[in-house]
Amino acid sequence: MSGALRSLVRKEVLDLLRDPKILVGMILLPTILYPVIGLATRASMSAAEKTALTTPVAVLDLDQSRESAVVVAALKATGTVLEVASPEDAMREALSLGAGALIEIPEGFGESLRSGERIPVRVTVFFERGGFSSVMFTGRLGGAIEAASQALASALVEELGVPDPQAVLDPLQVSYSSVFRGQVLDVPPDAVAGAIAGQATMLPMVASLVLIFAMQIAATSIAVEKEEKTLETLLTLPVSRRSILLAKLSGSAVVATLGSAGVIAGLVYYMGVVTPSGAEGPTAELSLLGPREVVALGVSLVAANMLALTLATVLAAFTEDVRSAQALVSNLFVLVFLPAFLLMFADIRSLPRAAALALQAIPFSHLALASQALVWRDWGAYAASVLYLCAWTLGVASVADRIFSSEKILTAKIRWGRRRRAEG
Amino acid sequence: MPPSVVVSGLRKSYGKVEALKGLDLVVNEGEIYGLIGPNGAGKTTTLRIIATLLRPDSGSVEVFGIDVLDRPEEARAVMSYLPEEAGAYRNLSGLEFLKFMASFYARDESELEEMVEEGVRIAALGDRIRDRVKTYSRGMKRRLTLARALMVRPRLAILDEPTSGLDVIHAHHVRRVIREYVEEKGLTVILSSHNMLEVERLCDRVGLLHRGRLLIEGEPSELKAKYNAGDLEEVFVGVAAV
Repeated sequence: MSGALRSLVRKEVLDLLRDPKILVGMILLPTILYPVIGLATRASMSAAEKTALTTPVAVLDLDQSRESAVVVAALKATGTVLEVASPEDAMREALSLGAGALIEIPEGFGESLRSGERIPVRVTVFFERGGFSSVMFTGRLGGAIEAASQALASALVEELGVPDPQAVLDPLQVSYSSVFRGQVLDVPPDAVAGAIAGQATMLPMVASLVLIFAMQIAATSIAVEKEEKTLETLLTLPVSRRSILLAKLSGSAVVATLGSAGVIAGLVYYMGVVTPSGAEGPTAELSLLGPREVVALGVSLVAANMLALTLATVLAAFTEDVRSAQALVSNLFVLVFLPAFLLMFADIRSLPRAAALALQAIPFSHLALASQALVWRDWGAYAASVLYLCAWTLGVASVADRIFSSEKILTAKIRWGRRRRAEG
Repeated sequence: MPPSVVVSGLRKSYGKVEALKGLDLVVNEGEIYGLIGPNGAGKTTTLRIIATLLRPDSGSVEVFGIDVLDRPEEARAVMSYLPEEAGAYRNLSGLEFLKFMASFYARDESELEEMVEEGVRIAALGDRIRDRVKTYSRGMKRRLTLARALMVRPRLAILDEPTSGLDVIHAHHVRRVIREYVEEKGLTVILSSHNMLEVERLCDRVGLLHRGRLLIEGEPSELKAKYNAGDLEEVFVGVAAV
């Protein structure tokens, strides 16, 4: 790097990083936002979980049969059960004991089961509090009732003399395996599908954040020169306009990378906090991206990032203040989010031809397409996507170079809602 | 004195508005040339073309024999341009700003240090030179940007309204530094100004630009005598009103 270019890049990085709007608004705040949300979510979830687990269930056993005893025992095994005795006043008693629900086993329950008939067990849930604990409690209650039903079914089947009640209750014993990229894996298909879906969601989300950061930083870098009236001085320095453009792109890339790294780290922390056991289990065997693919993914991200930077630079060159530049550049976000969102849910081959072509024409689609190609080790498709991104980057960089080499960088102005001023 | 700047047949339009209509101008080495004229006369356009920021529709500009249209980078190495509302990077300190600017002109570290030292002297901001630019007043910023323009030892300084909006003390400092540089270092200056008193005191020669054309040119005393005027303001008003 030449001395002049080094000076320019250093100035860019220093000036951008010292700007409170960028340092606080675009780097520090987004970096701590996800961990704070994650910790707050975890704390509130823990409190809700604790409430849901410690809330007792009241049981009114009017039958007092062997069958109802099995049900009560099974319920007790899943948590605190309080037995109430007064049929007339059961609900008031349950509420006064702090129960979250009342289960009433009617008289004749056991006898009707033995004669092959079912009579309903009444379950009343008391909604006394708001928040997530109610959802968790009803989930836990459903699980407890399901466990009680299973226990009762086992007891009834055992009475019929079946040696292994599970053979009747759950006769299909399934052993799953999955074929992924031509390899047979002893991994349940839902785990494979979950991992692929997770990759398809997580990667475009993170990549979109990175690109949007790059665009905002590059737009600010150009517009702030106009807003602070430093551009004219910069353009009369004895250094080529191409060096100035290159320094703008490099400086923005450095700052955007720092910002993106912070947000990604925050997001990973958030995911770890909210879903702490996500990477465990059989999916651990499933390596969607190896080290080579991770490097390749990085290459595609750099290519898309450079396109985002140059595109934002070109647009920002037509504005005269930071607010206009950021507003103008925000129009590009749709080109980043739309393909990322669509490709989260749909395989491009499953889309109608016209829609697939339109999606492929958008350069930022190719970041998601490249990452999908890497999951399936389709190196041809990956290379095509990266080349398409590079071709766009070169094209837009050439436009940026022309703008910087001409007086347009100084005279082109878009200011929303205001008329262009005449030159003196 | 040999010419530093030779402007020939300069034309420039912004859409349908003709800003310059065939301007011819010569600035001699070591002189301060004042470009005066009403708003919209084409002063800033002329200075921006000489400074390589704008390209004319036709005509030519030479600075010390260098064609600024063909060899802009070479021309930029011998001149310094101070725009009317020149800013400085608000998140850098004054000292960092001067170091950054000097790095494009200095051939080695010792020359860079000399330039920065000179810049600090011209700016005369004391300890505030280490503070961030965003804490500076308008006058302090102007001192800093003038220091930036002169410390790099240009052969030609193009100064667009160098004292515009400054209080008496800051304006006096700026004028004193400009005069000192011309007398001691042989600098050539071309400046624009609306302050006729400043132009009269500071400039060796003056050109009155009106509607893209140079109407009159000469030494302030010559012009006053020619138009039988008490000061340049009377000359300006008399000529521009015709």
